[in-house]
Amino acid sequence: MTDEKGLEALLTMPPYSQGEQERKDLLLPLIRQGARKACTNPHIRSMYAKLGIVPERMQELHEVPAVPVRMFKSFDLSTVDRSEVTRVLRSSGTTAQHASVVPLNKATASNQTRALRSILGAYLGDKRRVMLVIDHPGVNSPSRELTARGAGVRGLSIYAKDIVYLLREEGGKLVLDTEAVEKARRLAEVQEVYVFGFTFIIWSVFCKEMEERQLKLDLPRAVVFHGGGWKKLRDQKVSREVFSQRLAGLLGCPPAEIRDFYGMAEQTGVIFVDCELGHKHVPVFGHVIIRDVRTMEECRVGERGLIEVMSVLGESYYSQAVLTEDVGRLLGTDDCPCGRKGRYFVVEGRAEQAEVRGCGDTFRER
Amino acid sequence: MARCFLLDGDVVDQEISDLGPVVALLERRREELRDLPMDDIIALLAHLGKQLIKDPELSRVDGATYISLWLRADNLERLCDLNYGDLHRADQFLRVWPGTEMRCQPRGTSCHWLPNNVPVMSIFSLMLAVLSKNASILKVSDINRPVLTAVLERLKGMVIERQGRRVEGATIVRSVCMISFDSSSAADNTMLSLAADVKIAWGSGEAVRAVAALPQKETCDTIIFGPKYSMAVFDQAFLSGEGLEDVLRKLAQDVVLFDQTACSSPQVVVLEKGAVSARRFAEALSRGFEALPTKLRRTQMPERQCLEVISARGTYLLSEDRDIVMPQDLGWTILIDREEGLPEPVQGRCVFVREVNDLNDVMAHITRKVQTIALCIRDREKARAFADGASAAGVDRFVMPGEMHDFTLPWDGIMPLNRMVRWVTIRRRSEDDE
Repeated sequence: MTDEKGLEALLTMPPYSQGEQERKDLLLPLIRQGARKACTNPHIRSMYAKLGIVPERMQELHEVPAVPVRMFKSFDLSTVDRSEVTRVLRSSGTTAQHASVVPLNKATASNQTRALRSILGAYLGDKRRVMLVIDHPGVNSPSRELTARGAGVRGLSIYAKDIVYLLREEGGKLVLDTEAVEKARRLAEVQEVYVFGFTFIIWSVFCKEMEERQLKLDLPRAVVFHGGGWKKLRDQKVSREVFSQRLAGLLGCPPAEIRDFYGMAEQTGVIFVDCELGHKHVPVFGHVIIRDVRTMEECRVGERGLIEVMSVLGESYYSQAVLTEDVGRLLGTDDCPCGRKGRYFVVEGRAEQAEVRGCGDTFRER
Repeated sequence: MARCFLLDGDVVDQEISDLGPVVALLERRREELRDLPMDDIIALLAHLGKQLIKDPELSRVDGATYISLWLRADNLERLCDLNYGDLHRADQFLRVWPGTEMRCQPRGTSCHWLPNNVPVMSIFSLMLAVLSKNASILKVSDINRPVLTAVLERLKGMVIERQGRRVEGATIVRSVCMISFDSSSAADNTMLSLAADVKIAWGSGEAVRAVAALPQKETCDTIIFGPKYSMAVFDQAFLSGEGLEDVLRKLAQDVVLFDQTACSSPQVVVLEKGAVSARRFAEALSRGFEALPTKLRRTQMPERQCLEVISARGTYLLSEDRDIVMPQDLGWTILIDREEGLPEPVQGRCVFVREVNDLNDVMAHITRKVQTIALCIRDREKARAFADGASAAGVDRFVMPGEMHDFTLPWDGIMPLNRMVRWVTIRRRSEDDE
């Protein structure tokens, strides 16, 4: 049984209002309870037993065993009966052959929605706005199985009183929907808007086609959220500054309001949005630990390590601690000049991919 | 475009688009090397070995102590005798039987595609060329170039007196050229391959297949030290005998060296059921890992490899029918399961432990991919019978734990020195023999 009061408190308080210690004090009991419940899953029970860890005895957040994110592709990590699962989230990632499977029940989906509303509210205020989605409408089709892109659109649409998709599919390719752009222009004249899209799609489709058609929008008060990773853009040597300047120029908004966020299908609801200084902040219902990739110890401020994301939102699967394959650095705690409390960090992308298998590389005959 | 980093004994840094002039120069320099008696070459290399271990910079290189031991004169003489029948056959014709004399001649220019995972193997590759009196063009990388450059610079400055003669290390160094180029460059790979009288390729399957497929002279021989797999086997008698802890300490060292990327790195330990359970064995092996010196106990393996280990750990932690013994850090990992056959390596100091009813059950899974088996079978006859069957199935070496990475010859079932020379005979009427 989840400590509903504790979770309710976290979901109703401002997401960056708690200092490090207060936040840990609020999270730990919920994480313990969640871990105890998660031990009904035979795989999670096996992990805790082999590590000799009893959920109730965990004294610190860093003691909570983390599941490597890849495990969502090969294990059923659901912690509720199959009949309770209302939606399955699938994420293929960028390089994986198999998709992650994240089962959601009503409570988890509701927690995630409320968490996203809380985070977005910190950037958008109380009023609902028109949402401009730099993607095509089909990405958010109402099926039981949801892609990460669809989940992103759906998740961030909670502040939307109207949604306009600025792209459409044509022959399997994404293209700019100029009629939708025109509609967005008209709506933005009388209403406030926010914009959401995936970084690479924004760069490779939206920016390119807007420039080719010499189109621009005038959205001086818009807030733009984009996510989905930088790998492809980094390969093209596109920096954040260049990205923000180009997009801000096309949307007519300040570059500081182009906000990258870090998130993943396995921890939907807990997203880490850039502040004005480009630092990613941890909301109250989650936690981030940067772990040294070789010692697995918590890194000190400034040290590079793997990003572990903890969350109290998941009731239907093991969300308590997920070790990602992304690397980042903790920048500080409670002292970001933007005024937000809690941990803040930067993401440096995927762990280095260089293959070093040497002459002992395989047993398989090829 | 290739770059050259060592030519005619000098450290350089210049572009190179045509190996023709280099090969012509090396051809002259290898004549000087050919004129050096094997005893002088061995004396120089043995002297180098002694100096390496005293050199503050080089003694820090992984495997420096072992290179130094390997370069001992008695070891080099043994290796040459084994490969040539008599090491002096590399100097002159020697009688084989009445009416027949034999000697070997260097093939010419040896071209080496060196391994990246184990930099010391680059030194062994070069030493094979020197002991067969071939000139060398080494395709180096940022990983092995610093070590090779430092070793060759020490050798270049070395002068020893032998029977009143000055013998200079520079004679050897002038016969070596180091170049570097993008491994995906077909033009540069082809240029190097066409320069070769003997090619030596170390590395992954993809790497050695690419080298083997390059155009080459009709007279060129190609020696492949390709992807291999190694393991350890323990029978009941060995497991229940004395000294197991000591053996497991040595096995732990074999696992962690080169972060388990070498072809001689044990990837799985197969136990004969009955004496010690897999879990108890793993716990004993874990003590072996923990007893390693700090330098070996810690890993610096790349992030990508760490992710593979983390993933394997996750899989074994979450699987109800598997077990795992590990510390928090990635210094070592023992994965226990009940699956049949030999597992795909995870590498990164991650060793599997599997049980079988009878060690001979392993035989069905052995292929030519298996290079080394650490053979822990107490009874000598039983060990020999196992080695007989396993070698027929493909295994090249049987050693004890602690010796898996010893660069002994034959290696990968090959006598490389023997392959790097041409064999020449003189036959006459046997009654003319003195």
